[in-house]
Amino acid sequence: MSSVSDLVGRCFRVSSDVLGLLIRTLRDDGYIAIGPRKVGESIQLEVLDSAEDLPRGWGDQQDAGTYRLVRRSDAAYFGFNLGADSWKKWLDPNRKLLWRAKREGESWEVEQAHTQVRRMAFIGVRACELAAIKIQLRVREVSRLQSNSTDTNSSALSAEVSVEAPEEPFLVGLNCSQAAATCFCASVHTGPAFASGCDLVLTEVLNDDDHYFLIQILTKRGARISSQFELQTSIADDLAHIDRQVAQVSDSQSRQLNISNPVDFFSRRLEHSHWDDVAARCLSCANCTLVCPTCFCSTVEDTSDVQNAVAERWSRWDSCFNLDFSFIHGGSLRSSTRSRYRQWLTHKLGTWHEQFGSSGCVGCGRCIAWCPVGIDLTAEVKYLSQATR
Amino acid sequence: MVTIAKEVNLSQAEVQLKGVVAGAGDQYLPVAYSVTSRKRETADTVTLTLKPKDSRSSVCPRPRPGQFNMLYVFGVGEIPVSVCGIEPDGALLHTIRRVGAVSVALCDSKVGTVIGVRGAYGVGWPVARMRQRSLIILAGGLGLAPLLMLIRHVVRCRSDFADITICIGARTPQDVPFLREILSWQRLKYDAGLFDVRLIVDRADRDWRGEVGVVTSLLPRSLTAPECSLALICGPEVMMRHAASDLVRLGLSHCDIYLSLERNMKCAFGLCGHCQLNRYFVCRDGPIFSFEKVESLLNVKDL
Ligand SMILES: Cc1cc2nc3c(=O)[nH]c(=O)nc-3n(C[C@H](O)[C@H](O)[C@H](O)COP(=O)(O)OP(=O)(O)OC[C@H]3O[C@@H](n4cnc5c(N)ncnc54)[C@H](O)[C@@H]3O)c2cc1C
Ligand code: SF4
Ligand code: SF4
Repeated sequence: MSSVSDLVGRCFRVSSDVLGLLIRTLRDDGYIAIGPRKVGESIQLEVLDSAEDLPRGWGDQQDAGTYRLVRRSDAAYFGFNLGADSWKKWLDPNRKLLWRAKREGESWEVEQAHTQVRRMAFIGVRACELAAIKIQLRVREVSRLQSNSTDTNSSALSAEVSVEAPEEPFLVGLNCSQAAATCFCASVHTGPAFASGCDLVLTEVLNDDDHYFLIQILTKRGARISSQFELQTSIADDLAHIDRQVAQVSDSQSRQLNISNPVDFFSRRLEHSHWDDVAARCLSCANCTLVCPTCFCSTVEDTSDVQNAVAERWSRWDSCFNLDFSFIHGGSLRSSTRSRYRQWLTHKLGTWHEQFGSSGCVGCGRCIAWCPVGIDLTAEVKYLSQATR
Repeated sequence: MVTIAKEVNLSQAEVQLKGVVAGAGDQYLPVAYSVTSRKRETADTVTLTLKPKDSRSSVCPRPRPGQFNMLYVFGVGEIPVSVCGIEPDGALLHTIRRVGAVSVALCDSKVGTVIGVRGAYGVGWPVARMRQRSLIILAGGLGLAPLLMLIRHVVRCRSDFADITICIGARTPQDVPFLREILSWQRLKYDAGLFDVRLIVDRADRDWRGEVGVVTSLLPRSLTAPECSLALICGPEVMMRHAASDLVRLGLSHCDIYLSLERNMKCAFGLCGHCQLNRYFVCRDGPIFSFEKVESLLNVKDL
């Protein structure tokens, strides 16, 4: 191999035990490797020390209101689909310290919030999840661009605070080997095919007598890491195999979400009787918003120590299903479950387009599986389509 | 060896990813201001004058009429409060009603207390559209606070506008904020055009000689040139809805009626999600909206 950068844009075969080497190489390079790990009875996105930590041989069964891990008959590394965790757990942690202030007499000063800079590598990012990461980025970008005065504000503060810009996470994409019953990425065009956006993309190939990965190298960074692997020349059929696998995953999805003019669709249905029907089932538990990889709402908590000498501001995930969310003096504006479910769905699928230029749903199906009463947004939209009232 | 045929374009995703991990911590940082004076307006409202803590400290951008700041009390919390005035030296005036933890702490803060300020946020009143027009200004209760800076501007630049009608409502005579200033406006005399300042209370006491009723009853019965009029309304949402409908009946277009909405706000820069009203982030796209933009939304219960 002439030089590392020659690897960019190419596809190779690698043996199935490459994952251990991948994790080790990333760790040696200073990254924290994060990926799927079996914790209790589900698969979560946690720090990986070695390939032993991957849930090899496990699969899952998912449906509306159901998530169950099952043993597979083979030794697939990625024979399962999405769990409740999404990458927002790492990119936008549930709780984070925004700043700390210390009191001296009557006065106080804000201290620099130390952003803990970690070089993260995400292993096993699926197409719908990459789409979700991009949507969350877009939300932040729009907030930065459109809130007119914050720029002036933060520049006024730049003497006091320096926010370190950490290195972007290293992304190891994964082409799905199968779809869960809850998946509908194909209908919302976020997957299962990968276009671009990762450093490496893995495809697991497992048949009767063979178990290997196809690795597509998409960046220089990716090439540098992969140069440590034993890269075997791939054959023309390997790329065709990826396409076939993607097509199969796509065809096997039975759930669909198609709304031709979503903004108009929901603005005509704000008083639809079906909202009452969902409200009769929905527990307002907020599970759907917590597992959704694009839900971004947060709240702040201002705390202080016992002596009231040190105060902190924390941000934490919030949900439009919480009663407090819309509280103003005198009561909550969305006091009914009807109004809260309506807010969630019309925002996610409708007004999101007006605010951020895309749908807020990537078709990952998590909200369907993790809803304790099995409320399924694809089905609710079908009911809403039947009439406008 | 096979080369990937598909598009390989990563730079975008890579560059963008940096923003996420950095978070929005810097946008949440308050600037330290000191309370330099504290004035009781009514039994439950106080006006604070705030100045940058010391000459070295940073200053928030100068607010425009109708904009608001986020005010933070050490260890207690932070709330949105409209800017009701700016002193000639740049000091900020905020009038606060005691309703809960943070507003009570703000009202109880003494001269010298350090308050955190972030802002200014929101779009403000449509000052540029007001010139040469007749103005109808309607305030219910503390809704006068976000209008005060605007009214002071109108009084100062009287000749820029045609007829001016200001209608102010309060629960009882004791609840009228800025009473002395309102009385001083009532004494103003101008050569040209109507300048009418009217005050009304829901419930009178023995000493009250003025009008009794709802503030919308002060609206003119007819308008000579509704197409050249602009209405600016702030108060409880029900009142604003009624007032706006009345004004539409008087011939004003929906796009010439402005109202200031109140929603729960945690960030004020369109990120926490709390203030959403359908497609709008009230903190960023508002809090002042034309009736044209929000009429259909305000008519939907619990939106
Ligand atoms: C744009 C804007 C301008 C405002 N201008 C003024 C003003 O000039 N003077 C003034 O006295 N008040 C004003 N308010 C209302 C003020 O923000 C609330 O009274 C305040 O948030 C109450 O907080 P609390 O902790 O005292 O009360 P609590 O009842 O303890 O509030 C708990 C939490 O609920 C939320 N909340 C409660 N009431 C409101 C409310 N009315 N609006 C928004 N969030 C609320 C806050 O997040 C608060 O932290 C304004 C609100 C907005 C949105
Ligand atoms: S709305 Fe449901 S299916 Fe869509 S992205 Fe969120 S969790 Fe996934
Ligand atoms: S839709 Fe389901 S998951 Fe979401 S709040 Fe209602 S009960 Fe909970």
